[in-house]
Amino acid sequence: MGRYRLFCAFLLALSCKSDLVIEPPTTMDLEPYILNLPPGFPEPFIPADNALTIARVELGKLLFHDTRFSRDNTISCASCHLQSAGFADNEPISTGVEGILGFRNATSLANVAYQTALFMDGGVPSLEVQVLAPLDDKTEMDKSIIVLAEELKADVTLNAKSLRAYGREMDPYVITRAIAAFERTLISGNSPYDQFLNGDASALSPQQQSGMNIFFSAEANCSACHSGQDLSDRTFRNIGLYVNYEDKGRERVTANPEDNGKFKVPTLRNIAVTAPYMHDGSLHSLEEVINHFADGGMNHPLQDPLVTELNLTAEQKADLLAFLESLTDRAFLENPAFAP
Amino acid sequence: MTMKFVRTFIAVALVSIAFLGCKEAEVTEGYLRLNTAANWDGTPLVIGDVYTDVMNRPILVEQFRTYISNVSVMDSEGVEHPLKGVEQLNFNAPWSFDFWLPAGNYTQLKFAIGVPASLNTDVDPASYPNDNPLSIFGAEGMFWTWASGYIFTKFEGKTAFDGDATSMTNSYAFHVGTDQFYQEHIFAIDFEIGEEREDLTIEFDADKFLFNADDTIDLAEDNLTHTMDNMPLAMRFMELYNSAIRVKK
Repeated sequence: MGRYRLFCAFLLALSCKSDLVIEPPTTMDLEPYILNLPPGFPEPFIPADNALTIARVELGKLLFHDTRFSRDNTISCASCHLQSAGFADNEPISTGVEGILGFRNATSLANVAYQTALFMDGGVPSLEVQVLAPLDDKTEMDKSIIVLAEELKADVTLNAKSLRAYGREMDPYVITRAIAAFERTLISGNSPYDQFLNGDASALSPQQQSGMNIFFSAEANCSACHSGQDLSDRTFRNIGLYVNYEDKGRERVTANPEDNGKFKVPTLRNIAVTAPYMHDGSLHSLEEVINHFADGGMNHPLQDPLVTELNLTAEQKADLLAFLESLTDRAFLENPAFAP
Repeated sequence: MTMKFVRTFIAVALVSIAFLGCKEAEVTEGYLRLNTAANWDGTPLVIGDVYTDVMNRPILVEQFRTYISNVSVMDSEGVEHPLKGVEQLNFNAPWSFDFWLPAGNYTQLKFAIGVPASLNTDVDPASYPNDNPLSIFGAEGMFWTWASGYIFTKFEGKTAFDGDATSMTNSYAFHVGTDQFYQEHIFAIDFEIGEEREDLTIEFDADKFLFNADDTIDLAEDNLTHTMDNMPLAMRFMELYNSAIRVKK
C-alpha cells in the first residue's frame, strides 16, 4: 500500500512538472482601462477577477463583434445590440440563427455595468454569466461555448490577445470575462438632459423642459419608476400591458405567481432610438408608449398601482415625447471606441 | 558459550523482526468502492433503449443525469467520513469511485441529490477548472444560463402518447433544480472496511421516476418541466425520483 502511494506521489510530481513545462509563456498587459465616467456617475462594481484593462476591453470588443459566436456564423452580440440603436436593436423580437425569432425584444446595454440582475426577468447576476445565455439559446446563437473556445483558440492572433489580456489561452473563462469587460465600458451620460443637469440651461428646449417637468411631476409620476442616473429604479413591475401575459416575465425565474407579467423597468437612456418598445416589441413608437401609460393600462390583477389613468393633453404628451428625445446621447451612439 | 550467545541473539532477532513484520501487516485501512447504477424494472437501464411505462407506453430514455453531493459514510463510533463534494452522474457511463477509509465497521451512507445552495447561488461555471463537475465542461448543459443555477436532475427522451412504439414523436423532459429540491438521503447500512474491498451501490429505479403507489405521471398530460415554468410537475417528479433511490451492498 505504501509503495502504491509512493508511486502515485511520484506520478503526481511528474504530472505537476509536466504542467509547468507545457504552460505557454505569458506576458499579461495589465495597463488599466480608465472609465470615462460622466459627472455624478459612481464607479460601477468590477469583479476582482476581471479588473478593467485596455487589453481586456479591446479583446472584448473584438469578441462582441465576432460572428463565430453563432452556429451558422451569422450572428454576433452586435447583431442584436447595435451601437446606433443604443446597443439594442429596432426589431420587435430579434432574429437568431437561420432567421429564427427569439424570445424578447433586445435590451439596451447602455450603462449595463451598473446592473446587478440581468435580463428583463433578472435571472442572471453578472455580466460574465450573462454571456452564456445567448450562446446557449437555440433561438439566438445556438453555439456551444466549448466549441467556440476551441475555434477562437485556433485563431493565432486572437489567442495571443487572450494570453495578453488574461494570461491564459482562449477558453470560456476568457470569453465571458472579455465580453463583460467591454460591456462595462458602454457608459452613456452625455445627453442634452445630462448637459442641462450639469448647468447648460440651453441644452433643453422649452418644450423639452416642459416635458421634463411633467415627467417628474406628482401627477404623471413617471419618475416613480424611471428614476436615478439611468432613469430606472431596476425594479420588476407589471405595467398592465396585457390582461393575460403569454410571457410570464419574472415569474419565469422565481416561479412566484405574484411575479406574473413583471419585467424590469428599462433605462430610458437613448430611448428614442430603441423602438419598438416593451418586452415583446408590441408598442411601435414612444407615442404609443405614452398613450399606454396615459390610458392606465389593461387592468391586469397584478398591475402596478402606479399605472393609473392620466389626464394628459395632446400638448403635454408632445412635451413628454420631446423630453424623452432629449435623453439621446449622440456621443455614445457615435463613439468610435465602441465600433468594430 | 559465544556461539550459543550468537545463536540465541539471532533467534531473538528473527522472532522480533517477524513480530514487527506482523504488526506492520495489520490492516488499518481499506477501500470502499461506491458504484451507481440505474435500472428499469430490475434490468440495467441503457440510455438510448426503449422501455415500457406503467401506462403501457413506449419510453425512449435519451438522457438521465443527476448531481450528487456531500457524500459521506459514518463509522460505528459515529464519526462521519466525507468522501465527495459534488459529482455529476451521467448514466451514459455509470460512475464508480474508490475511497480509502480507516478499517472498521460502518453504519451509514449519506449523500444529497442536487448542488448545495452555497454553490448554486451567483454561480459562474466559467470560473471553475475544466475537471470540476460544476464547470462548463463538467456541467455539460446541466446549468440554466437564463436563470443562473444548476439542473439537479435531467431525465428526458421520447414517447408515443398513442402507444405506438414505431412512431415515438412525443417528447418528455424533466429538468429539475433550484435550492428547494436539494434533497439529502441517509441510508442505514452496515459494512466493514478491512482487507477486502467493500462495494456499495446507489441504485436509481428509473421506471419508478414516473409512478409509485402514491402518484403516476401520465406523460400524455404532464411531460415537460424546467422547474420554474411548471413547479407542480417538478415537485411531483422529484417526489417520485427521491423515492426511487436505494443503496445496496
